[in-house]
Amino acid sequence: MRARALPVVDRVDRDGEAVVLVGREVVRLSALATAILDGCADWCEVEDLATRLVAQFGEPPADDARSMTVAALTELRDQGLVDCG
Amino acid sequence: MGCQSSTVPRVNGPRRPQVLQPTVVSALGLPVAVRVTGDRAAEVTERLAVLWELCEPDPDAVAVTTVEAVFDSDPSVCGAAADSGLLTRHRLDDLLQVLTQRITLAAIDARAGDALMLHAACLADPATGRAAAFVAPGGTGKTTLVRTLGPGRWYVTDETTVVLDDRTVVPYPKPLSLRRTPESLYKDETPPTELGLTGATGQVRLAALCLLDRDDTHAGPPRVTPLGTLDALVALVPQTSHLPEMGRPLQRLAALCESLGGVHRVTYRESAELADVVDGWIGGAG
Repeated sequence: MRARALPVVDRVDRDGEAVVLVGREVVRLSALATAILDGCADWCEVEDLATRLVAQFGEPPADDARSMTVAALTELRDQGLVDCG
Repeated sequence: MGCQSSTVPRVNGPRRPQVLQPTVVSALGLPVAVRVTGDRAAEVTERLAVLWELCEPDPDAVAVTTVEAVFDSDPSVCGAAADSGLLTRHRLDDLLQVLTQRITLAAIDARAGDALMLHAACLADPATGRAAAFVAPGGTGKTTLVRTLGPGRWYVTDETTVVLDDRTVVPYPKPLSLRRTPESLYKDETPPTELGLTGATGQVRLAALCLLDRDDTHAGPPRVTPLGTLDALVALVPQTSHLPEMGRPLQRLAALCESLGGVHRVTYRESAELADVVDGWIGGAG
């Protein structure tokens, strides 16, 4: 699985978190979601993305990093923020 | 008498269509024409002149958009107008209420991409022009707040606050839509001066931006909660019009919020209790 961030109307970052405007909808992004979007500006394999997230945030407390990354990407895809292939 | 209107004398005889010049009002800083036809059109234009008393356009203003309506004593004329998509009502009060909404929407559409438009009431201090905008969805306290705290201050708007990049606010002192009874779905349009309100006579500049949170269960003085920039954006964006059409909309909105020292959520029960809060932001009512 791989993923790529989709363009948004605008974005504001503060303290590692962000708010984006997708069409007419505003979406608040956690630090993790912000890092995922930044980590897949171009097509990126989910394993590479998970490795980068672990390096930035540490090992997840439950579940494995890949599964958590896939879950987060699915949520971001549903909000129109990433393309998954 | 505020807005421009002129009437061609009526032709004698029953039910001759009236040919009236459009009424032009200033809405969100833009001249908007209201063209009314039908044998009772004069009743509408006469009331428009009273209701829109504080929204007088420049004398040589050319309307950028037109709202069309039909008001006629013959129900079949109104029915035909409605079928063809024209704005019409059987009751004058009902038509005037919907006309206010249509004028606002027409002006909002005409300003798309041109300026930040917040669904917010706004009052200003006449001594300084410092203004506070009170963001809230429809039916949640904006007009009540203006009625309560507006006398002695400048009434800027009870509906849509237009803010330019330099924080200048474009006044829109429209008629106020007041519920006929507390539970009524219907509203009557009311001229601002009838409620003791006065329009701005100088420059208005935004000094405070808050989210109104009227809560019937709230006890004690108003609670003022500062919001971080991102939380403020999430709360404000749904209360904007045509935001995506602006260039860098979120960044401009964030810059506005931060230039004001942040946005606050104000939880309160009765709008009169907000007087001290508003005084602190823009100065006391004169």
